[in-house]
Amino acid sequence: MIFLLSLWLSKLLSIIISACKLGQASNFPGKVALLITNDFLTHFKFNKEIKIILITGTNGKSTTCGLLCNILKSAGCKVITNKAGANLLSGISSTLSFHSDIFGNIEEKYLVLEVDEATLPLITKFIKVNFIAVTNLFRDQLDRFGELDTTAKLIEKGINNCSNATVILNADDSRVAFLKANNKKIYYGINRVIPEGSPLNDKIWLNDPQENTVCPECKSELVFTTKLMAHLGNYKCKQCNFKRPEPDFAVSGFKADDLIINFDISSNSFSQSKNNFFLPMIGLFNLYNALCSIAIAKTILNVTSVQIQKGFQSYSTIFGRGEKIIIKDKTAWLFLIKNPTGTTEILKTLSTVPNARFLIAINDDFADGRDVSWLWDARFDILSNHKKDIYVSGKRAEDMALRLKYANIHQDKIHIQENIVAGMNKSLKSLDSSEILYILPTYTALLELQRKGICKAAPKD
Amino acid sequence: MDNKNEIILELAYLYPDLLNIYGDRGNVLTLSYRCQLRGINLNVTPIKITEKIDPEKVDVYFMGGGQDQQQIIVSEDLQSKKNDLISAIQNNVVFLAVCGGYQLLGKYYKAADGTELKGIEAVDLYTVAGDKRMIGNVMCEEIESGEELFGFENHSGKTYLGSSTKPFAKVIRGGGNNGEDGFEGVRYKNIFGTYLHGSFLPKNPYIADKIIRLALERKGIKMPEINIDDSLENLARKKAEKLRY
Repeated sequence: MIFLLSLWLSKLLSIIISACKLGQASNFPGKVALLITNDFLTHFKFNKEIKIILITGTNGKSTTCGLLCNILKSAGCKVITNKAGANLLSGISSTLSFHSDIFGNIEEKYLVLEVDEATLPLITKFIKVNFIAVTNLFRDQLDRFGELDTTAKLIEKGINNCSNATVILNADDSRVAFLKANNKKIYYGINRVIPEGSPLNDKIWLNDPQENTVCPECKSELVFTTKLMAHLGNYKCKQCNFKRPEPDFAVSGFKADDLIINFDISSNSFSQSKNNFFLPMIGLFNLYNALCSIAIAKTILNVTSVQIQKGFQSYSTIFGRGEKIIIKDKTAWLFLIKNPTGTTEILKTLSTVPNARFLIAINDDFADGRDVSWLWDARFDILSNHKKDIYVSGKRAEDMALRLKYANIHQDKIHIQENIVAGMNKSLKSLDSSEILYILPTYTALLELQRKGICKAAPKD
Repeated sequence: MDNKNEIILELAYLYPDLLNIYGDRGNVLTLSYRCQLRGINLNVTPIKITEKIDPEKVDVYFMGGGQDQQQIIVSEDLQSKKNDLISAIQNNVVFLAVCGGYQLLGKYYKAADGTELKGIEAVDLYTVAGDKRMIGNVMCEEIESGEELFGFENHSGKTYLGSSTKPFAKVIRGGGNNGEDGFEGVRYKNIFGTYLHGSFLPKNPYIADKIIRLALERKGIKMPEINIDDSLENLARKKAEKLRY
């Protein structure tokens, strides 16, 4: 009875919040329900055939989740999912309460949730899940010492709560592949391919940002035969037997150009030996997200290649992850940058685009990371052959300008305009008719553009 | 081109693949750039685990900060390089060490659970884990010159200097070595130890030049005097002055 009361209160709150335009009601209603009933999630009555899929990991949760939902929808499935970022207990409680009837019944057959790494054990304690996917484990400079290991242990705990769930793991991330669980495991990874358009710096100490080069089993050094980005690749321990597991779903080749990634997948679960897809996104990290979504979709349901492709095509990008805007006949694209690896991947792609112009907006609020040191780990040297003027904006525009100076961009070509909107207007004005502006903002810089109505936040559902 | 008068400086970059997440490579970029402007060729040699260093050859050492797992590996490997590094330091070789690298030049890093991570005991200092992490934009003043220095600190280790050393800077805003005595970093012989990321040298070109000058003087070479356009550096410094901790 108490559950029903908290459910109704939660539903009522979400109606009020939406009606009064107080926000997206993605967290608060669940938060209140949890205050009244702390095991709120256990009381929902799911469809008997329901498949519950959780996606966790440091990067790519929202995108993978969005791509998977789209694939399932194109296969005719009814799917419930949480809003991008509403991935804590309160957000997930809000999602379930919103989608259930007044008695807590949920009719849909697919529940796809992105889950914060630390929240995973809480969710799996309350509901029986069928699939858990782990995308990768990165650590950024915001984190405390030792947290990567702590995060991995929380995920292990979350998986161990559901011994019957199948886990879908990124084989290319040593710490993810190493996760200890007796569950059935499915691996995905990108096989030995030389990525195109990946400029190497002649000074090896200036190459791509990397981390996690230690064997999770015996702490010796890991040796890589291929490294695709950051610490993701084909690895083997120097001392013990630990090595990358053979992927069940593997990208066997890919080509990235014109803001599209074209790739082949080989897997026994497809009827053909080679399956070609194209993804309207940039950056190798998105190839990993797409691969993960395929691995999940194929594991839970026999979707066809056509349905997968349809799912990719209908995917409208989520907030700032590649959004096209048109202002006064000028075209601009927005790509959120937040860490060295992601930024480097975006720069690799955009540096090959002819007639590209850049506006880089760096803030240092808490959500951006207060330390701008990471700019020095990102490979801005990829822009060293860029002949056109570059605009820099945001609270740390001067630091960005200095970084560009060290990327061999001539000082006269760097224009500082701290105000982001002014920076955007000025850079748009400087475009000739053939040029396209690529805006690379950090998180709060992007929020600022959104608040000014310049870009929109497209929710993934 | 075989230019017999070309000045060459050798920089050994210690463990760039393991200590690499706080943008410290910007320091090496800055040294390289400011050498280049003066017609000095800075050769950067990355030194990996188990690789030997040629102590006769190196003019400048650089070591940055990293994650704890990586630091454990580095601490072990450094023991095999300890004697070479200590004698180099005694011979006035220039050494810039940031954060984790700085801690490892001392006696030890004592973790919260009591375990000790060995340093190389090149400098009279030690570090103990604190319960409060010091994170924020630091402003301080170099003791030798009074020059303002800017950077970002992010450490829970509290470093205490022995009597044979001097602190690098006086803290104006931030935690510094231990959040208690108001000092930042260490100066000993030609060692510069600091907690400042940012990267440190790009926004503090005065120190970059000092490092180059010391390395040249040790070889009996006079620093080429040139005018360098530091207008972007000065803009970034002006901004850093106004940042909150």
